[in-house]
Amino acid sequence: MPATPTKRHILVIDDDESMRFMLQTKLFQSGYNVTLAASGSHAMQVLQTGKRFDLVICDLKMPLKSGIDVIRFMKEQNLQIPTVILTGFPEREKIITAAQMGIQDVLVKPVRHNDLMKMVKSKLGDVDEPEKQAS
Amino acid sequence: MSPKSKRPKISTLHQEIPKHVQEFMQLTRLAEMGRVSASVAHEINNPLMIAQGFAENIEMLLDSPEIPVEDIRLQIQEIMKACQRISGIVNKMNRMSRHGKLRLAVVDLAEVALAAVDFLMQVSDIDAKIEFDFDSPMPIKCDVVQVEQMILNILSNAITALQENKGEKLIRISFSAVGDQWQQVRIWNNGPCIPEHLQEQIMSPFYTTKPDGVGLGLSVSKAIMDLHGGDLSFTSGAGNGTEFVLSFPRPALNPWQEQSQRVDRATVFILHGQVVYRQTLEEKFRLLGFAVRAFADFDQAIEAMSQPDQQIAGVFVDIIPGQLESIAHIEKLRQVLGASGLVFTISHFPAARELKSELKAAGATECFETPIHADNFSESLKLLDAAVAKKPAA
Repeated sequence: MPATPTKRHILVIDDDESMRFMLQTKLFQSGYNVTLAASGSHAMQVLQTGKRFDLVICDLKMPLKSGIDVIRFMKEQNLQIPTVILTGFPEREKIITAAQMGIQDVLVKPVRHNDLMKMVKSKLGDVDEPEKQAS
Repeated sequence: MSPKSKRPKISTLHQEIPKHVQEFMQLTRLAEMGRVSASVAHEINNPLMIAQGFAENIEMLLDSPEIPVEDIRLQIQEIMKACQRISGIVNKMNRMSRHGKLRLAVVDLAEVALAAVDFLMQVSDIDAKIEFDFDSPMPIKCDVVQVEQMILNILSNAITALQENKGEKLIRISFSAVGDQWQQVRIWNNGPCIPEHLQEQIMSPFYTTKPDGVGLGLSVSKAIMDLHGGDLSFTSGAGNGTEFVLSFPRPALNPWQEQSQRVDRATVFILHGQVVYRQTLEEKFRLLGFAVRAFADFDQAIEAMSQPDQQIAGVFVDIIPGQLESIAHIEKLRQVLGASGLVFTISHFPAARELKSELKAAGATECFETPIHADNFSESLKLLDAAVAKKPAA
């Protein structure tokens, strides 16, 4: 697997285990470090450890603590990490709430690899780095 | 007010169902499918993206200098798992689309109305304030899908009417018993009143004021209420808004008003993300003599359950299908409550049926759909009482 000297670190929050595994594999194959959180409350615990993340990819609809709760938590804790919402159920009200808290990037599942990577790179300010796969 | 209209009943439960009502029932089944498809949009898009994502990964791996066969095998297995998930959902939707007769069950009218409100909030952008005013449980014997659809239809008419309001847009859903005989849900809105000359016509088939409407909603709703042995009526007057009233005959069975005294006050825990639903369930167990503790947050609930010196009768926990976290929650509850603890899962998502065996394997005692059918509720009550009898208060 590619090893870039300064690997960017992405926090993936999704309550669907296979989805987490798929995103982890995809992002890792593309040269990123990935930490997984299986729920909103799990994500808050991870974020509280002080670990540095360059990007958060967050599902919206999760039981009890939703993606909106995580975004609100990050705002309250003043954690300014670029965040992308990745949802299969883009409820208008929630999208507006997220936008009011400054999160405007929403990808609706299913998302193609190229679209996901384009969004990830643009949020990280990367142009063509660090994707290393032959094409 | 008499819940029965002057008009003679067109049929009873035992008579043949008129063709146009049958057609409407088929349509409501299709609408139920719409409801399902909205609730499973989330689930179906997940496995779809998982399968697509792994397929793209594999395509990239095939270009590697050394093809990682084991990695690829693992990812192919994930694709197959995702396909099975999708196929489970499609099978369920096929089952739902089959039309049939009234499927009667005793349920709490408040829970049915709540399900309709909940669905409406999920699928549309509502700028009206909806007040939900319930008191004690209101058992009715009905076809849940049909009644939920009727309430949805009345709510959506109310929302259309409220578009004309300049000021506050308000819908109030309330419940009342009329004598010993009738249970009513009243759906009121403060929109403009229905002009007197139209009031005669709105219940007629094919009468509509909506450009894209068919004009069958109210007339067929009325026929379906007749099939339930009940009635649909409305009042509308300047300055008073419009109120639709669905009246159902009260069934003999009322599992929520048992006389038995539960003096030991064992606690029922309720874990549900939806505040009004949590309250309706809380109220039911309070009336039955249980102590109740209700939570929206799973971790807080676990913490409360772990406190010493309390007698837990059982736990009711909300499940949102497609989220594997749910399974972990059941496992955690089983761990905290021990082997003999009672864990009942409840879910408004019909797709939760698919999860039943998984939930039971993780430790769920029983899995119920909401609105909870009275016989399921009674079954859970028996189990709760037996559990309390076995473990006298500490």
